[in-house]
Amino acid sequence: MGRARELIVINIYRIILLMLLILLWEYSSDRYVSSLIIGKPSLIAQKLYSYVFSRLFLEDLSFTLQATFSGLILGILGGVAFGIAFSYFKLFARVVEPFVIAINSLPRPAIAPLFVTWLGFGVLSKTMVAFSIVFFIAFFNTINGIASINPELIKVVRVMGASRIQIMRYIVIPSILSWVFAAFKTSVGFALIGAIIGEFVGSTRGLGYRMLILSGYFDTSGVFALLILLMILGYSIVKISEKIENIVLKWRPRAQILSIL
Amino acid sequence: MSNNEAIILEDLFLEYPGLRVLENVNLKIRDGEVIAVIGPSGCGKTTMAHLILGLVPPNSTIRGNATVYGVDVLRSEGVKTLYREVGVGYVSQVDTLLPWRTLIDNLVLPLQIKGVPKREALERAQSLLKLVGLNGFEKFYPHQLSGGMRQRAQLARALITSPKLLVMDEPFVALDALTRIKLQGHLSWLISKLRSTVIFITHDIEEAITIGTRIIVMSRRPGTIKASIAVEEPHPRDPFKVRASGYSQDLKEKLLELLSGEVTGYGEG
Repeated sequence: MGRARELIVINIYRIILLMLLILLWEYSSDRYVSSLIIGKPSLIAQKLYSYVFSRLFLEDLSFTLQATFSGLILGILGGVAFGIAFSYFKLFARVVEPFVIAINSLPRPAIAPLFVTWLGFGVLSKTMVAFSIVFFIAFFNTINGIASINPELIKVVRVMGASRIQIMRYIVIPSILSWVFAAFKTSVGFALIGAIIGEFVGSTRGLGYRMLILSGYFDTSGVFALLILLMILGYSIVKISEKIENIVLKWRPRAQILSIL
Repeated sequence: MSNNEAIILEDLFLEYPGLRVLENVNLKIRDGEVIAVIGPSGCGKTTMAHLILGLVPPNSTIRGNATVYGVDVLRSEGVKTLYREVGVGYVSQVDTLLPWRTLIDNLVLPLQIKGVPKREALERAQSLLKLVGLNGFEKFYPHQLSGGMRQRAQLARALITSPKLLVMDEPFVALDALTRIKLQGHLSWLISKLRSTVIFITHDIEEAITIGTRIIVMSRRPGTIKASIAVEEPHPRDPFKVRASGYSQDLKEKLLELLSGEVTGYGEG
């Protein structure tokens, strides 16, 4: 069987499986188990339709995306800057290392209430939860990026007459970027998780907040509708970040690695 | 210093804590000479080359003098002058092309660092690419090139600033035998076109005979200069003919004899 044909067959099986599960779900709901507990696909579709075309959806979506991307950008910038300082200033690194490890070991949902207490119910507290996750991903990738620089590269560029700033510009920054962008997809996913956690803890808007409200009303179908939206959002963000990653890291021998694996 | 002496090493001594690497190294290299340095593994060939390049290893103790084109390369001010005014090229034994830059962007890097305008840099890079037979591959990334092509690209990058001194540290060590021989021939042809002083480190006797106008033999660690043998044959040399020639056989025997006393038994390092 050809590769394209195989893919078509697999996709057909996937659709059949999904349809069967949905039919089974629809049939069982309110017949064997209450729809208050497991929801109902027809109700979910209705809720999804009415929510997506309401004013609330755009407000919630923009709130969640704002927190996600602010946290992502600040987290990457902060993590890279801190990682560079950590790698360049050994005394600084030795002093702060135990604090960094201790803070990173804290589960983010546990510190999210503090951010809400300090920064309020607005977008800033959600941004900070997303930031607190992305920061450490960027930080550790920066450290790994700097540690993995081939010392011979530095020697060769020094012999070319490069200053410390030029070594940073031509060698260190590109090495860091390749590591940080390699983790970009993960960072985006975690930024979204951070924003949703922040909304769960305390908010007045956002997709996570809306889901919490619906859950409080035992509107399980509504919760499922929100989950589907979050899934689509997360999937789209990951796919877009994959595209960005492939553009930024187009020099990587990606196809070769995949063929070896 | 006489006018045509490019490099002078006097009583050079280098040690790391608990490890003496170089001892009483005395060497004079004339401007335009092509020196092949050969010696047993770990004898300090690379360390000596690094000192000439002003790359002083950290945690090392150094005594003696090292001047390159009249510049004291053991002092940081001298090293700056060496890089900015004298001009040196360095080809390492490992691949040092920047993987995130295309071939042409890798080549222009030394000129970018020196602030040469982009257009001029690109023109020079193009002519160098032709010289090393890589024209047409400008937009390729290093991973898309073969090992031999990458080494030629590194050589072109080292030559782009027309350096007075070119140091090559076992540049062909990672290549297969046939590619090595081809590149030796290519390098010999390039040397015939250049005016640079060349230091070529190798552990391959035939390679040393093909490249060097003088072969320096180093003793085992702590490394010192054991012998200096001139190779009269002019560049460009054909590596295949060199290997088959009578003078090459005589030189090979002589070098083997010199080196045999320096090779320690297994497990003795």
